[in-house]
Amino acid sequence: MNSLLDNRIRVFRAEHRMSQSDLARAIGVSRKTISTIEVGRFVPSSVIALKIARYFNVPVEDVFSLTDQEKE
Amino acid sequence: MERQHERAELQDRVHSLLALGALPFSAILVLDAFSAGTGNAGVVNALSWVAKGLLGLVVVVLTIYIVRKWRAGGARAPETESFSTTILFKAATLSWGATFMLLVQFYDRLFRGNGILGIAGLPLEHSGEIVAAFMLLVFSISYFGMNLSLQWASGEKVADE
Repeated sequence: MNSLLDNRIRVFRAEHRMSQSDLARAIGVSRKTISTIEVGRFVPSSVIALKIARYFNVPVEDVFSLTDQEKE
Repeated sequence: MERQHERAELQDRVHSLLALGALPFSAILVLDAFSAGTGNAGVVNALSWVAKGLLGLVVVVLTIYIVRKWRAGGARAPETESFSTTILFKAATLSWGATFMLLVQFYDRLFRGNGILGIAGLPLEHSGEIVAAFMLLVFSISYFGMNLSLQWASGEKVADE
């Protein structure tokens, strides 16, 4: 069984009317880093995950969650 | 955070330029080896100068970005905290692995007799250049390949919205 890291960054960005660049600037990373996390291509370090959650003022579990995927 | 963000953006560009610079560097090594091996100075030399020009351009831009990054200062983020750093390391690992596999798997064909493309017929220095060029080429292609695959992934749009 594989576990995938799901995230709701896009939703939170929409709620706060922010672009990826705005969020990147707010937490001090590059825009590409945000976009790759958002589409699930890059698993962020715990530091980045916590920074994102702190920025949106929510627990980290609200932004990131694990989904189990059955192996075919 | 603004300065840290600027620094992170510059770091992404530095990584892309490093991978880009590997291409003309690889071309210079191959052309140098073949010009020495074949003695055909004309076209090979011209191509070599074009590659040197491109590499020079990359080095100049790279230097500017590194100086700007240094001036941006700010808190240094851990090295793994960016996508470009991660794929740069992956590309480097892949190129080392591919070169190792090439040497181990195709040792006979590369170096017995005249070898593939006459590599074994070249002086040792130039055979080494061919192997280094292969490593740089794999490094560059895999870096940009991973970058491109991101854009194709699930048809998701990566561009800023």
